[in-house]
Amino acid sequence: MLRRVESALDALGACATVLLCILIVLTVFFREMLGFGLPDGIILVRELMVPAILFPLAVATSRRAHVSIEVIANHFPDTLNRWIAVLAALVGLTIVIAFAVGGWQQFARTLENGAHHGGDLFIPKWISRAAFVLAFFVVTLRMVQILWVDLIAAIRGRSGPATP
Amino acid sequence: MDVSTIGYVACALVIFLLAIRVPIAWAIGGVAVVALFFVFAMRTGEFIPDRALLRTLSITFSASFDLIHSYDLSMIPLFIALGHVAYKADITTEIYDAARILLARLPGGVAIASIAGCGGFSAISGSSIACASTMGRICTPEMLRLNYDPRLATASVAAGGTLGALIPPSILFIIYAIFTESSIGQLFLAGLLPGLISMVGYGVVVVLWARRSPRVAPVSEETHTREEKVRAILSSWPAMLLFLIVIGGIYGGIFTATEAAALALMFAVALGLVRRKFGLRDIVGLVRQVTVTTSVIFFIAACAKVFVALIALTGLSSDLVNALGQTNIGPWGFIAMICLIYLVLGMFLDPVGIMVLTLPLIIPLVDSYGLNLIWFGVIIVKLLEIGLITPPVGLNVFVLAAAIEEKVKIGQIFAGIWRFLISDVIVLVLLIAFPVISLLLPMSM
Repeated sequence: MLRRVESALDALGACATVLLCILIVLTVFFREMLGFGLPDGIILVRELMVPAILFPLAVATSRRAHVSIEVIANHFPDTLNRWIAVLAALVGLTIVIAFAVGGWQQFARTLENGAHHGGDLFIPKWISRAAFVLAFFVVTLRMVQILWVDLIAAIRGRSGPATP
Repeated sequence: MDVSTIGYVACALVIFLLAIRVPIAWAIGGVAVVALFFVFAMRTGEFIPDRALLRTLSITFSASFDLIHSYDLSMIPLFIALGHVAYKADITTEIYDAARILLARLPGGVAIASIAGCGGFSAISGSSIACASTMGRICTPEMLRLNYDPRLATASVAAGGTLGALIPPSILFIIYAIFTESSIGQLFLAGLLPGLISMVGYGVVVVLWARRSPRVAPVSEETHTREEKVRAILSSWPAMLLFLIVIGGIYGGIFTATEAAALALMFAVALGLVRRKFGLRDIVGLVRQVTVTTSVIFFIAACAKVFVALIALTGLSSDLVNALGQTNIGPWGFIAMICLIYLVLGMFLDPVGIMVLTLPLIIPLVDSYGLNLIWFGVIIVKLLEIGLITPPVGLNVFVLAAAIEEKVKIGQIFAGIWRFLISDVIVLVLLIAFPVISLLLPMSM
């Protein structure tokens, strides 16, 4: 289930990238050919950046694609490395939860006060905050699953299964 | 515990966590959040956690959200996607083919063509790693087939791949611009001449190496007529047009760098569709293949922004500026110190990690010496470029080894690298001694 959600979010992130590319091209076209810009083009691109960047983060986390430094840890015994993986997941969970909760607070605030970006379309601010919260909520779930898998592996003293 | 002590403890903790293989983003982000909480809770000298959590969460959100919710930075996913789409549309292969036909008769001609191909790829994609990976799959097998020495066949591409960091568009310049609030367009232009000089330097290394030991690069028996050469040049028009859109557009003031990225990607997609390299339905799939790379880069930068907020609140930067002021180190001593630090860090850390960890501390020092931030950016990126091929963690070397399915051992690749490192050091000294090399184009805008 979680894998499906992550995959859907990743696809949506790619769609957002394609869309923002089209929007920027249209903005240039309108400006150069017709002499006026696309209404709120810049705001729309900024709003699309949130899903474009954050929606694929859960897939990146499930693939354990986050960059780390291998040099010293490669010389550690396997047992120690398994417990380090647990510590890493805990540290990761700290920042991810902070992003999710901080995002939720901002989302609730902008939804409550009806804040918008102004311009021509009065695009509400809560939309990108909601995308931010959704992305980090799914990443949090994945991080909890990784923590659980790594913890079991460390306790049992053998390598955990690859993250699904 | 006062706030600056919290800052120092946080820095030490980050270094410890990085050393034991905690991912960079998690280490700097996780430590920054906890440290920020303590900073807010202990501001008055006593531990008062009321409201500290709310403030911490608020600053964590705003630091990261403001970075991601950015129009200018939308060029990063676009340039990363451009490199991949250009590869799928055969644009990168054409650059290499053209260079190979034109340079076939030179000593080590195919290796020089590979370096030129890397330069061409760098001009349409901002990632050194993507450059080494893509060009490694195209050029290295070809050189091995022609009985080139495996050290030359791999080291030339690993070194050539680093050009992606200097020749615009460059992701490293964009990240540098985020932390220094410099102009991305000016940084792109500043990197062009140093990138070209680095490319020529690598070419000279190949010629000297092939002249000294002719067996490392057997002379090609291939001959090409003038018509074939002209056809080869003409067939690489898509790459030239992409370069023109990006650099010509920015330099001519026609487009911003973000607009240039979008237009170049649109053009590469259109060309791929016309050439039937992929269909309309494949476009999202193509972009999906690079979304994870983009996401991971941004997540590191977002966490680094939270860490920057911590550095600012704890006053670590000003402490460092004051400490350096008392040591009476001059600007050249400072530059030498920076070179040393970056060369050592480059041996172990990836470029984005080095930038996000060091720039928040170093930039106030650069300001205090009155150094030009654009020139300093070129020096930093050149140093990071060197770090990509220095052992034990020369990232480009590992990426290349993976791209060629480890047909050449990593030790052999490193054995060929040192010659290119000499060229890099000479270019670095030139860039430091003659800032005009970097500043000529941005100043003429």
